[in-house]
Amino acid sequence: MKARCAALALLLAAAATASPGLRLEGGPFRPYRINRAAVVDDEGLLGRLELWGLRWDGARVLLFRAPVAARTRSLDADFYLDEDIRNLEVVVDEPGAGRSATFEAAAPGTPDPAEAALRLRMRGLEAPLLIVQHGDGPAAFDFRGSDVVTAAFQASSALFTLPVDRAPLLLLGAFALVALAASASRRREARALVILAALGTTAAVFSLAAPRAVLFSLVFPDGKVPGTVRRTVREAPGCTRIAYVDAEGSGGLELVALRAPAGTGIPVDDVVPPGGQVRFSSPPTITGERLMTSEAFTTGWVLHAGR
Amino acid sequence: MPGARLLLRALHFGLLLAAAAGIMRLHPPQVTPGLAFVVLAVYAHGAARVFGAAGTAKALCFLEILPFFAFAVVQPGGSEPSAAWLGVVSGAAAGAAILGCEWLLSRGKATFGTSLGFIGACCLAGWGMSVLPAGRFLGLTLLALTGSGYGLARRARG
Repeated sequence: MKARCAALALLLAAAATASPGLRLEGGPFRPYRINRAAVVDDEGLLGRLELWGLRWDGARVLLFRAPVAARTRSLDADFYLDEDIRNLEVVVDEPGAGRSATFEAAAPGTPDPAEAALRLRMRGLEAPLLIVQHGDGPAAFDFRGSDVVTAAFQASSALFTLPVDRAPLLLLGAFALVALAASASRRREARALVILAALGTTAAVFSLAAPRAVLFSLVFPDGKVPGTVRRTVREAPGCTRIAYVDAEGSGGLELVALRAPAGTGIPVDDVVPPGGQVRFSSPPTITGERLMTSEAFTTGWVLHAGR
Repeated sequence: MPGARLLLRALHFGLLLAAAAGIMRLHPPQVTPGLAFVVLAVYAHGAARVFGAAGTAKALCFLEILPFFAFAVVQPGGSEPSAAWLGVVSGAAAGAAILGCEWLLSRGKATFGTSLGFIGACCLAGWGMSVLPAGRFLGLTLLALTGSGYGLARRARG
C-alpha cells in the first residue's frame, strides 16, 4: 500500500512539473531489449537529460543520461526495459527551466504469441546473485553434469572474480621506499626528493588506481550447458573483458556480469549484440555515448538474435 | 637510535600499504573521501607525534600521506576523474589549512589540548567534505589556508 501511495505521489509530482512539449517518440518500446527513443521538445533540449524508469513498486531507476551542451530539438536515448518498469519519466535539468514528463513504458494490449513466448522465456531466466571475490579466476572450468541454473550459480561464485591490479600498490610501495630512504638522510635535497616523489606519485595514482570497467561472460552454446570452458582476458581501453567459452564458441545464450563505475563504461553492443534480448538483475544506465554503466555489479542473461 | 627510527618509519608505511591493500578488496566500495581524510589526517598527526615532528617536518609527514589519500579517493570509483581531482586537491588544501591554524594557535607547542583541537578540526573538515558541494568546500579550505598563511607570515615578520 505504501509503495502504491509513493508511486501515486511520484506520478502526481511529475504531472505538476510536466512539460506539454516534451515527447518520447520511437515506441512502442519492448521489454528485455535495448530500446531507442527520441526525446523531443519543440522548445529545445539543454542541460542534463535523464530517462528514469518507474517500477511497479514505486522505485526509480536511472536508465539513460546525457549532457546536452548545445540546444537541440531531439536527442536519441538508448535504454534497457523490462517488465518491472511501468512508466518512463523524462527529466530535463535545464538551468532555470527544469521540466519532466511521464509516459507509459510498454505498449498497451496483449503481445503477439511469439513476443509472449519470448517474454515468458526471459521471465524464467533469473539472473544469479554475484558473490564478488577477488583474484584471478580458474583458467578452465568443467560444467559437465550441471544444469543451466547450477552452472550460472557456479559461474557467478567461482568464475566471475575481480582481477586484482597490483600496479597501484607497487607504485605506493616504491614511494614508501623513497620516503624511507630519504628519512635516513639529513640533507636538504632528501626533503625535496620526498616532496617531488609525493606529488609525482599522487598524479600517477589517478591513472593507475582508477577502477576499470569489467565485463564477464559465460557462453551457453545453443542454450545448453557448456562442457569445459576456458578463460580469455581481453584488455580494451578503459575496460577488461573476461570471457569463458568452450570449444563450440559463442552464440546462443550468454550469462554476463558487469561493473562500470562513473568515468568508465562498456559499449552497449559489446554486452547486448544488436537484435539480442537481455534480462538484467537491475537495469544499468546507458550514457549518451552508448556506454553502459553500473556502480554495483549487475548480472544478466543475453539471448542472441535468431536463437 | 637511527635504526629504531627507521624501523618505526617502515612500520608507518607498512600500515599505510596494508590499509591500501584492504581498500582494494572492499566491495562495494565503502570508503568516502571524507572518511579517508579524517582517518589519514588523524593517523598522520599521530605519526608526527610519535616521530617528534613539528612545523615543516610535520607538514612533510602530511605530504607523505597525500598519495595514499589520492589512492583512497580514486580507487573505490564512484566519481568522475575531475571530481576525484577536486576531492584530492580539497583534502590537501584542508590538511594544509589545519596545519597552518594549529601552528598559528599552538605556537609550536604540542599539548593534549592542541591534539584534541587538531583531531576535531580534521573531523569537521571530513564532515564538510562529505556534505558540502566540492567547489564550496575547496573555496572554504582555500580561505582558511590563506588566513592561516597570512597569520604565519605576520608572525614571521614579528
